[in-house]
Amino acid sequence: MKHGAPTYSMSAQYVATDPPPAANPLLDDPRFRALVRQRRTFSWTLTILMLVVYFAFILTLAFAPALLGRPIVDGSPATWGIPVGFGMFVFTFVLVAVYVARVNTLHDHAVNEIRQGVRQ
Amino acid sequence: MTRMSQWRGALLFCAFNALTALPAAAAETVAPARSHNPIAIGMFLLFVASTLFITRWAARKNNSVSDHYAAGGKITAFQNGWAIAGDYMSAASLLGISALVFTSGYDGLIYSIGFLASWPVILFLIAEPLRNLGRYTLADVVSYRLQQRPIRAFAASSSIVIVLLYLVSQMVGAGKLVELLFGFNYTVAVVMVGVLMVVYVFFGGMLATTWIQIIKAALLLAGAAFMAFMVLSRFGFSMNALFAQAILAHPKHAAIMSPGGLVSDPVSAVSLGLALIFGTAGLPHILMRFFTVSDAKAARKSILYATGIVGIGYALIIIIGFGTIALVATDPHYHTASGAVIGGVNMVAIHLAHAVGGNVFLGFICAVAFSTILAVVAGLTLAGSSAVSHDLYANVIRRGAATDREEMHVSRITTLVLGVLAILLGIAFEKQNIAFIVSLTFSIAASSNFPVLLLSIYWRGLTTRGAVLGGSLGLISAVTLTILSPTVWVQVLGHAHAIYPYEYPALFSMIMAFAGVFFFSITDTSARGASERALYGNQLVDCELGMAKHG
Repeated sequence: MKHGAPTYSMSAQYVATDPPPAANPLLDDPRFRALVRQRRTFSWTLTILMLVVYFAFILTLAFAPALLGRPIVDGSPATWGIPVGFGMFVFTFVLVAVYVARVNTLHDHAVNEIRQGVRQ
Repeated sequence: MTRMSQWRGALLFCAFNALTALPAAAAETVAPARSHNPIAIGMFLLFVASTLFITRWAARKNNSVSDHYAAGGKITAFQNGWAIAGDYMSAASLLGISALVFTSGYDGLIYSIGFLASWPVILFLIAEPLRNLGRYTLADVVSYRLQQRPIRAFAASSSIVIVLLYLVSQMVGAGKLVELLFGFNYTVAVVMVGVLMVVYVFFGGMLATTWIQIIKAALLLAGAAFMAFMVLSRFGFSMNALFAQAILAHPKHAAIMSPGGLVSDPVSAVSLGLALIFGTAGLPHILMRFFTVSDAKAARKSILYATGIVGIGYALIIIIGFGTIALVATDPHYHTASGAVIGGVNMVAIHLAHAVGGNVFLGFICAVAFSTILAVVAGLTLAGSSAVSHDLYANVIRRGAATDREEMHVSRITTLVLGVLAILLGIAFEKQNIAFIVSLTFSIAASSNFPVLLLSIYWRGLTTRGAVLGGSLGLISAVTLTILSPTVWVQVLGHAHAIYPYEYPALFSMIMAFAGVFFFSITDTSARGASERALYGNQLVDCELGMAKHG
């Protein structure tokens, strides 16, 4: 994945072409199709996971706030809400880290292979 | 919906960006907190001097349109992570969230969680396609296969509306804050902010704006870390001891450790959550940051850094918030004779800085708080001027025939115009209750820019007609519902009952936008619509492989 600063040539993408250009041959390439399928499944799964956890938290606050207001140890000031709240920070970061780690290795690798193929 | 929960709702969004809560807070003020604090002013001048120095350095490298809008794509992932974190941890976060913890305890934590949760969504769905398909603005991405002129006119207009609204809230906040912190006159403060932001953007472009944001973020994080450390050191580094003292000091006692009335109504709660998460993904000054790095991989990594930095920052701010309860709430030094906090509740973090670090640290935190506003307005101005010059001028009016020189010229003129507008609007809105503006900004972004951007990347069936009509429908419904909501209809316009009963419009306006885009796209039988759908495949290749600009 090494390219310096992008060189912004005014490519065809910015000019409305009519009739449309021929479809890119890569669209029929099974490797490309597999890449797109994997990436989209992965991205949307993580997105839905984040949204479910976040809205579960918000709706718990709306419907059952007492759940988070119970003390962890009777008599001590910290409630369950504190670790759950800070846990949300950690969860968010971990999800981002998981995504970056996987895409950096697996997906970038697949993208590079397909690109090499195109350049040859 | 009780008046109390309305007030909480308003406060919540104020915390957003801070300082919009200050009008309310200022009402209970007797006198400015500290007039003409020399250390604060000295540190502030030092910051301004160093930013002007950076601007001069950046101006020498600011030679092309690409440099001006996107720092030539040469910002590294690590630098961009700090810059993004800078956009997030504004004075708002430090002052607003700690004030929210000060008044309601646990509720402050809820708010900051929503803020952070927008980043994974931007990363998973938006950031990489944006980098691979666009150059300078989000309109570049949505116009990839759609009809250039209508879609750019739409995206640019909606971006300019967002930028102007956001600028107003920042300018008013800045004016009030400077009035309180440094004892300057409001109008003088607004003019000063306006002039500085124009200088940064006009000469230094994206490179200067980015570095100012990075430095400010580092200063803010260092300041917050020092404050949190000093607070914990008072309690033998035991969170439990801190909480115990806070419970003792706070009038609500043990209730501060559990969720209060912040999200009592599920519809408002979900609406707010949607605006927070998806609104950020439609803010032009945030999206613009992804064009400053070299490729999709760098865009991806910059979010990892940003999420880490912002997460740590918020954790520190929550500790600071509980510190304000434990150390400021009980100290008569920081209260007026009538028992109100001097300068209003938004000043509690500033008072805590004094309590744990004396006058010098107080000056430092004041200067940092103000510098955060400068950095944010500079970013907004750049986003607004690129929407005008790159989208409206170069592509809509000149149909892509403008030279780089002409585009840069228009961009700089727009910067001046935006500066003047921001100053005038800032002065005009001084006495207005603008708490609704920030909520409106995020709701518009979530209902106009975001649906169009998301569907242009992921839905083959999108056509120009669907994007423009559906996006406009989202924008209009977000504005209309905000006007009809309790915050504006009752509190600003003085009617007895709100026509739209909820605080935030995002839940309904987003449904309207997505339904509108979908309906007007599938009913589009034009030949152009068919060719736009046919181009989706080629867009997909560029979107995934990022070769459009390299091969």
